[in-house]
Amino acid sequence: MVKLISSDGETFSVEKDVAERSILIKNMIEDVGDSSTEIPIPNVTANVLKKVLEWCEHHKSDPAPVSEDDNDSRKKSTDIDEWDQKFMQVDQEMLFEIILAANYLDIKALLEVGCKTVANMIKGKSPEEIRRQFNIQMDFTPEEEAQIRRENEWAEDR
Amino acid sequence: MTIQNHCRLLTLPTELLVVIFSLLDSTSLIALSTTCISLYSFLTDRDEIWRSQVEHLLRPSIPHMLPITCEPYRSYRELCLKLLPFSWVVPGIWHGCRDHQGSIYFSRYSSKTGHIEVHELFCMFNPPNDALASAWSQNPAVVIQKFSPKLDRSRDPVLKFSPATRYNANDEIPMSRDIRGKLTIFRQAEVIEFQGDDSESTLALWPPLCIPAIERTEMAQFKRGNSKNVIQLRQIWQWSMMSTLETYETVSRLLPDLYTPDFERPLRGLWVGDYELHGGEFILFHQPAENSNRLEAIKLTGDPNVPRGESSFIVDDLSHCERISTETEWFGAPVVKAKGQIAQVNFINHQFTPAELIIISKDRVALYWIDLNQINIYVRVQVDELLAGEKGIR
Repeated sequence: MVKLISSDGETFSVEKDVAERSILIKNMIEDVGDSSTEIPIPNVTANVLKKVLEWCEHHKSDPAPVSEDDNDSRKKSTDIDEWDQKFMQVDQEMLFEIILAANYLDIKALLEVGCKTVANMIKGKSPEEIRRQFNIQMDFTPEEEAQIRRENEWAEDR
Repeated sequence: MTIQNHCRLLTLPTELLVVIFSLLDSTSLIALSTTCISLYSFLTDRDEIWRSQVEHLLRPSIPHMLPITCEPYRSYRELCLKLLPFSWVVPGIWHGCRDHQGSIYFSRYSSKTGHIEVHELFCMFNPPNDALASAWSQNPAVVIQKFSPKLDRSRDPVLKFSPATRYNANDEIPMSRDIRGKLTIFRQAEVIEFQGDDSESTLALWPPLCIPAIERTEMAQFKRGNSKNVIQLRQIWQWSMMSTLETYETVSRLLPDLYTPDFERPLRGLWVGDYELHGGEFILFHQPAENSNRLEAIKLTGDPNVPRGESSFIVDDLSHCERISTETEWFGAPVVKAKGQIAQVNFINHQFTPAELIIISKDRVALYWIDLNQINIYVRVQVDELLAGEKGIR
């Protein structure tokens, strides 16, 4: 078992192979050489860490990702498997926290799922729908707006 | 990046935003860039995001050795914005219903002009070489016709889509007149829903039912629609104020699967075959998805005897090898039983006659017309190379 301490001081005891989904933690355990020491995770709060560990637990026996394949069709796909889709049904604040934590902890597969989830929230939407989705203030001056419209008129045609 | 907005998205680190935005399609990227100043400048400043869009779209149109550049545009973003409305046209092989001979086109992006272009494709003979024939070593009464075809394209593109291209009020696009005074007017065709195979109505469909397609239209109807797989060309020749000739042609996209060979269907593809006096014709070697042992050689371009849309020859069972060639011309090539279609002018008295298909390689076959005492060669068109602007026949 490995002990992880969140930024707000909560301790999580998890199996080594669950914790090692995170390359950052894996490297730390290797550096320390003793898996019984407590590992501080200063950038991640308890509620986010709990969620991230839930994902690691479910994916603990996933095969190691195949070395970077540059297959274009794979790279562009935003398909997400069902369990991960459910897992990502959280409020936006949590979604972004999970993405940041996955990035910091170096959990590639979770980061990928997070990015795809955000991409799917943008895909196929109108500018107004995107603004509403992410609480974006429309801040163009009327002149800027006219100019952008001209630039894109072409693309919006059909 | 200044953040006046209380928008969580914009607080993500730049490298993550680049990852997320690179997952989007061009239309979504454009929508995103028009939401606010921050996202507009973020996307305008990071051309690598647009580059991946362009890469996706144009890679097949650029020779594999050459890097993709955004020229003649200033940025990949500009290229994307300017060509997006017609990006569906490229790249591809299209076949049309002109007369009974049919026609073949290919569409590609030209990095020279920065336009999307559609050229007609022709199969050229290579005289005097191809006038030569030799006797078959196995049976000297049989003639082997020499065939070394070359592909040629129309000098000017038949269709050209540039950033200035616009639909007119009739949803048509008149192209500029060619040097001989021919005016081509382009429109997207209307997709027809049809049921069953009521032969009366299916006769008029394009593409014909023997060619798998996701959308078909009625050839006789020149109606505007929004198909991205079937288009129509109206061509007007004007010789004088009084004398004009107008022709209509329906053209459909050949699904890439149909000409892409795979492990089970190695002969699948676009081929040119030798039809002697009629010249080289474009033939689709169709190995159906549901029966990979069958080969239907369907004419995409035809002649007055056997027109486009009809079978030229059929192999029922590719897996059943009749013999292995021992003759010097193609030693070791497997030979399978086939039947070839012949007809009088206007497809009268069409009938199948016994034939053999000699599979010389995955890119070259020979058809032995047993009763006609002659052997004709077929050569694969290398579609990838053709679309990349190369010659297309090895």
